[in-house]
Amino acid sequence: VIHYSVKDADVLVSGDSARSEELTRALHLETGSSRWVLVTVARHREWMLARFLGRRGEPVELYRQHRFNDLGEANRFVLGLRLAERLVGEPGPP
Amino acid sequence: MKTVIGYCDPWSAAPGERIAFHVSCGDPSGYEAQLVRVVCGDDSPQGPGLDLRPIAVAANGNYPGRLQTHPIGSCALMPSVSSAEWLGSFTISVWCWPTAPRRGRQAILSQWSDEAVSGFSLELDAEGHTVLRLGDGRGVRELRSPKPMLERRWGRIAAGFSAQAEVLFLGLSAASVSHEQSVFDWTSAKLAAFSPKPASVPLTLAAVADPDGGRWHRAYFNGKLARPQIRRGVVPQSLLAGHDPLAPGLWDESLSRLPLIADWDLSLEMQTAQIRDVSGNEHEGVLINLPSRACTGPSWAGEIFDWRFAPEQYDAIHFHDDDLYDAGWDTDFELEVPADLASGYYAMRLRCAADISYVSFFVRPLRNRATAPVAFLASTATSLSYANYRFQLESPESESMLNFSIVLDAEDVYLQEHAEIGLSNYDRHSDGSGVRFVSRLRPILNMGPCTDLWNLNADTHLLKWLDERRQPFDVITDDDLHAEGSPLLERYRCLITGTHPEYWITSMWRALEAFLARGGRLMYLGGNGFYWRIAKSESFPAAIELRRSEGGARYWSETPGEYHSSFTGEYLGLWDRTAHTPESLVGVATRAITFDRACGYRPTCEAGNPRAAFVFHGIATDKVFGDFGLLAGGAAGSEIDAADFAHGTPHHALVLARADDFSRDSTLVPERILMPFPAMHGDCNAAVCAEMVFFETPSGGAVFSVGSVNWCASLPHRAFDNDVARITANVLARFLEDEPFPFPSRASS
Repeated sequence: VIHYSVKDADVLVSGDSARSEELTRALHLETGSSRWVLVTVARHREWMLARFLGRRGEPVELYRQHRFNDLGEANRFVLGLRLAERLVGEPGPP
Repeated sequence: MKTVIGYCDPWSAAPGERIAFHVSCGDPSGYEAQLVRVVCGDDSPQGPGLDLRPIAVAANGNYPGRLQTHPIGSCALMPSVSSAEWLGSFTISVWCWPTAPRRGRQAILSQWSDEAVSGFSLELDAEGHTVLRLGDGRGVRELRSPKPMLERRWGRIAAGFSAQAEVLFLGLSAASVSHEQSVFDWTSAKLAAFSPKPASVPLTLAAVADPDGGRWHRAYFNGKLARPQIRRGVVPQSLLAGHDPLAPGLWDESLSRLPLIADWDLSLEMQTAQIRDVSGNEHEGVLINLPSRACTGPSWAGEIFDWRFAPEQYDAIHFHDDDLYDAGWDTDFELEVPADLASGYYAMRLRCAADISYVSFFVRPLRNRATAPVAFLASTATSLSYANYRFQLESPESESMLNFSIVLDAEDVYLQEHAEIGLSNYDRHSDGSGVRFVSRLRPILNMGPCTDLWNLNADTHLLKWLDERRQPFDVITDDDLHAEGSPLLERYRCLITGTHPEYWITSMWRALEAFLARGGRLMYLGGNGFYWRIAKSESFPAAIELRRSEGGARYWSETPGEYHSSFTGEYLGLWDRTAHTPESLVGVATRAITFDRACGYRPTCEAGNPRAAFVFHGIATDKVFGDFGLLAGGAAGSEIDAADFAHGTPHHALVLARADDFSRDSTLVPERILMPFPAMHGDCNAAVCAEMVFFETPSGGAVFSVGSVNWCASLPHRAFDNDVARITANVLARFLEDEPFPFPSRASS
């Protein structure tokens, strides 16, 4: 089980590398597979939650009801979902 | 999301010349096209402001929408082969190195029609077994090898049919590698009273031909093929009883008694799309969608690495089901570049409801003419190499490297859902092999305004700065420089690069060397420049070829032995590994990669050298400068370069400033690491640095290199009133003066 703090998401948004080693590990492990991501709705203004399945050619599943106007908030939400999925196998967004 | 996309050809045109636009629009009500001059493509709230200036041209207007798409996948067509005379008795021999043998039906050699149930096809089935299929117009007879092919192992296949002998046979022999069990299969079946009917499609290598004669071939093969032959007749089964019929010697001796119908030597005409039949029957072939040539064949012994010295060992072609050279869309409209249109970076804005796409291109000055003393060299080779880059989608390093979770733009979503749009040099083919060839004859979604601040869009900070200063300049492209060489540069006093001139063709390198040798001045305002050597070809003018050989920061590495260009024969890979190092050309070379925080530069003691006084005019040389900017907050960052006097930096070069306040996420590039060790990172290794370098050339010219991709993103800070902008202006002003730079004596250097 990988433990990381959702607060770590703040440093990702700020572009500072002072994140936990656990989060670095988690980010690396998460790539290349199905995972929660963000999709831009309006550049620099609005984002929505999405599920990326990782296989070339497959559609990105959009969760249009989960929209954000703050990228930091959106990033924390995404990483929180990933954390929940890893820890308790939560299948979908709350 | 995206409803309108397009591409244009060519990318660079002079006034009076024409550019064709090819558009796909999913809304039948159509789209609007509007030409804009791209002065600044940064649409971020922190940036200087998106600056796209509409230009009135006849091509502007509304156009009907229609979907356009295209097939992907490579193969070879041999249209002159007719099986009518020999389909009753024939033998095929071919060497095969499958790279995805369990991914569905894949044709090796066929002249087959599914619809007419006729012809023959030698294929791999979905489990990787070899299948020989025959059709007589009513039904299918097929024979399947008991064992599957081995992935990435050479195997030889022999298959045939004789109506007279009433036999269908299929043999497979895969060479053993290391401690593996070799594969040997021989199977045959009695097939009486069966008369296969020829299919009315071209004989095809690595696919089944489009039954309608179009481009939509099917059952594409992934992997290498070598030495395909078709012979009339079959070897008597009794002759081979008790022997491995595929063993060298016996099989070749037996086969040689059968008359050749076709014998394709794939090592001939390596630099073209042609494949030659050496049987004497002139059944020549043509390659579709640029598969990879100059590939090691079954007899490559690992002792020769340049196909030009042993072409017989490089007689294989690697086909992929996602190769693409030319999307081949119909033209929607053309732009005739107005006679009075200034040289610059332009884009055709395509708007369909809420969706906007930009198709980028460049207007160069009239041929044989310059309209300004300064030329900006648009790094079109680099933009092409990155075209439709799937880094966020597919690179396992993306999130940890960028220190950010994935945020997909509409363009990323489109790329994910439309594999047919093609790949970049950073991606892998569906079989896992690296992408060597990229072409501009297809939509490219990450090359335009309102995209990430990388490559061309990041360069627009520089274009905006030039515009703010009212500095006249021409725009020329890598394509122009490749085509015209040093005469193109000789019209200018000063050449300015963009932020990331990473990919260089030998012709471009030589032209720049010649420009500097005759006294030209170069401002290299980027980082990670002059890094990869690539090649172009007259046979495929819209493509570049890259082989990521042996070293360098890269997402895939080259197949052993396949380091030399099929286009030119040159060793491709790092320029660093050739006699021409980046340091010898511009004083610096790629040192490290850092995508978290950036930093400013500290002037060194050499900043006080009188030779460099013009650089720091009005700048304090006792404090950090450039600790601001739109990319990670500093002028030194992303990809950074430094001097290395032992590796080609001219001995009289001045290292004027250094930036080294980087974090643990900043890492030396692989060629600087050699042996992995704990202190490879910026927080504990002073070699992780960017260096600003200046030197004069013996003929009165000079080179100024900033050593950082981020430099130009600091130009707009405080409305372009800052030390980075001031230094850039100081250098440009001096570089435009007539007065030659005196070459320093040993004492003054």
